[in-house]
Amino acid sequence: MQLIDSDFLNELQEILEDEFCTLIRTYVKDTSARVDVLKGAIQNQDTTSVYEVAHSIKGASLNLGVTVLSELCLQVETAAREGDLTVAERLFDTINTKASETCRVLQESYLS
Amino acid sequence: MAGNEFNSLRILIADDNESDRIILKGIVTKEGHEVVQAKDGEEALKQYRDTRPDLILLDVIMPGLNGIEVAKEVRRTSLADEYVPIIFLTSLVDPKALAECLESGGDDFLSKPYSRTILKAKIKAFGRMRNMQEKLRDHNRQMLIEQQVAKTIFDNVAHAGCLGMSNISYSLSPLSVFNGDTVLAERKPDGGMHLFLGDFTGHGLPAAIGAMPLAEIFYGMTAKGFSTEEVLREMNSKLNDILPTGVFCCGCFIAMDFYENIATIWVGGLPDVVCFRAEERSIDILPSENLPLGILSAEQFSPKFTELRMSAEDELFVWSDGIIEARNSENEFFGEDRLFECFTHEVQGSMFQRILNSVEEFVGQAGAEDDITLLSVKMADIDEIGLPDFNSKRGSLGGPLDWSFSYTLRHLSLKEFNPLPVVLSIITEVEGLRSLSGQLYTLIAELYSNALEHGVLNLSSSLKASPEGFEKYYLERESRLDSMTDGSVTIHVHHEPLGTGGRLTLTIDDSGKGFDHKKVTEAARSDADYCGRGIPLVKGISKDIHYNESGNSVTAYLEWPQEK
Repeated sequence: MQLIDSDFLNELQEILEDEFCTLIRTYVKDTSARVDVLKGAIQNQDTTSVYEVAHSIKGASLNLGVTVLSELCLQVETAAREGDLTVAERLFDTINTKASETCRVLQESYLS
Repeated sequence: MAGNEFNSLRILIADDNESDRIILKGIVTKEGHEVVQAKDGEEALKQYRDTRPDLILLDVIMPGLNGIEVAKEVRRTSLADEYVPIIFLTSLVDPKALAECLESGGDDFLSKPYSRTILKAKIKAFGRMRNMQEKLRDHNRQMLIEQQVAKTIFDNVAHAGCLGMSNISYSLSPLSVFNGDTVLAERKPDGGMHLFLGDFTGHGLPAAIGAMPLAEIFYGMTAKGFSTEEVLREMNSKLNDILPTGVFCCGCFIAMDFYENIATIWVGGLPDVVCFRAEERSIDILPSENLPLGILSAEQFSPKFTELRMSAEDELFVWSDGIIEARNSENEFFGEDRLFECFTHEVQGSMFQRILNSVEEFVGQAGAEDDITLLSVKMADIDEIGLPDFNSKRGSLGGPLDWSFSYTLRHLSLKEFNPLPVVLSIITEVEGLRSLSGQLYTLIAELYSNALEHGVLNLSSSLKASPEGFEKYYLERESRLDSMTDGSVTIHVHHEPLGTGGRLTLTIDDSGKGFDHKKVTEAARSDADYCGRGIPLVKGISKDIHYNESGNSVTAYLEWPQEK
C-alpha cells in the first residue's frame, strides 16, 4: 500500500494553489507533534488523550489522502474509545515510523 | 442578490485542526464564498455572534466547547426567523454519535476526506434553503404589515360603538380579529343597547374578513333603530351570502332594555351564557339554542330569544371557547366547572376581574388573558345610563331644511312592519337633528305605540300596572293585532328652518276613537312605575306637545339647536 495518494494530493494542489505548501507544512508539523503527544499519552495510560490525538491524526491524514496512517490511527481510536490501550501500545512503533516516512515523502515531493 | 442565481455566502469554518481548515477554506473560497474561521468552540460562538454567517461548517470533536455544544447554543440563542444551517464535519461512523449531532441542531454531515464536489453541492443546497428562508421572512414581514393595516381599519369599524361604557367590561386580544373573535356594542336610539360577541371558525384573514360586514350591519342598523331581530336577521343573511361553506360565526346577541330592565338574549353555538344575580349570588345558565350565524338561509333562520328580567347590578357573562380551553402546564383545560365555580366565591372587586385572575392563576403565567375573549354587561337604570348621543360624523352641514311628508300605515302593515327606522332615517338627514336621534327615536316610538296600542287596538294602559299585567297586556296586544281587519296610523312630519337651526313638527293620527288625554297625563304623573311612562318622557324631549280634542291625534314640536 502506498503511503500517500498522489492523484488525490494533486487535485488538492489545484484547488489550493499557493496555500497547498502551507497545508503540507502544517500537516507535517502537526503530525510530528501529535505522534509525540500520543507517545506521552500511552505512557501515562491516558485513554481519553489517546483517543483524541489518534482521532486528530486520523482526520488530518484522511483529508490529505494519507490512507495508511489514517487506517492505523482509526484502529487505535476505536479501541481507545472502548478503554482499550493495548492496540495503541502494539501499533505505536509502526505509527511512529509511518508518520516519519510520510512526512519525509510529502516534503520531498511537494516542498523542495 | 435578486435575479442572480449565484449567491455568495458567508461561511463559518470551525475546526481545531489547522490542515482541515486550510483545505476547507481553499474549497469554499474557490467557490466564491466568504470564509470566517474559528479554531475552537468558544471562538466559533464568538464568530457566529459577530459575523452572522449564512452557514456553519462545524467540527464535532474540539477541545473545550465541542461541536455539539456549539450547535445547541446557536439554536438556543438564534431568533426564530434567523435559521443558520449547520453542517457537521466528522469522521465519526458511530450511528449514535451521528444521531446526537442531528439532535443538537445539525442539519447535515460532511465526512472526511472532504470532497470538493460534495461540499460544493451541499453549500448550494443550503444556499437555496437560505434564500427560501429570506423570501419567507420577507413574506411574513409583508403579511404582518398588512395585518396591522387590516387591524387598524377593522378597529375603526368595530370599536366605534359604546364598548367604553361603565356597565360593560371586556377582554379581547389586540390581534383578536385574526383569531376570529369580535366584540361589538352600540346604543339603540330608544336608550337600549345591543351587544354582540362573535367567534368565527378558523384563524387569520379568512376569520377576520367576515367581521367587517358584520360590524357594519350591527352598528348601522342598531343606530338607525332597527329591532334586535331585524339586526340579527340581517347579520345572518349577510354572512350566509358571503361566507364559504364551512365558515360561520358562533355568537351571542344581547339587547338590553334599561327602562324595563329586561335583557333579550340570542345564543348561537357559543358556550353557555351566564347571568350572575348580584343579590342572591346565584347564576342562571343560558345554553345555546340556535345554530351559528351564516349557516341558515334568510328563510330558514328563525332565531330563538330568551328574555331575562334583571335587577340593577345583575351581570351577563359571555365568552368564546378560548377561556374554557385555556390550558395549564399539565395540558389540562380550564373547563366550564372551574369557570362556573368563580361565581360561587365572595369577591373583592369585580366578578369580571375575578374570572380573568382565576384563568391566569390556572394557566400559571402572566398575560394568559391575552387570548381570552370575555364580555360582561351589567343591568342598570336608564337614569344612570342616560340616552345615547349619536354625534354627527358627516362632513357636510345642513341637509334638507324645508320639507314635509306623511306616511300612512294600514292594518296589514301595522301587523308586520316597524316604520321607525325609515322615519328616523329621513328625519336625521337634517344634520342638526342627527345628534338628537336617540331622543327623536324615543319620542316617535312612544307616540307611535300609543297611537297603535291605545288608539287603533284600544288597549288600556292601566293593564300594565303590575308585572303580571304586563304579560297580559302584550298577549292581548298580539291577539288584537292578529284579528285586526282595518285601522291605520298616519305619521306627518314637517320641518322648517328657524334661526340658525330648525323646527320639527311631528303629528301622529290614528283611526281609534281617541281617549281622555288629560286624565291619562295626570295619572301618569302620580304613578310612573309601569304605566304611561311615555308621556312625561315625551314632554321632557319635545318643546311642546298637544292632543286634539278627541285624543286620536297628537302633535309634538322639537327645536334645534338645543341648549345642553
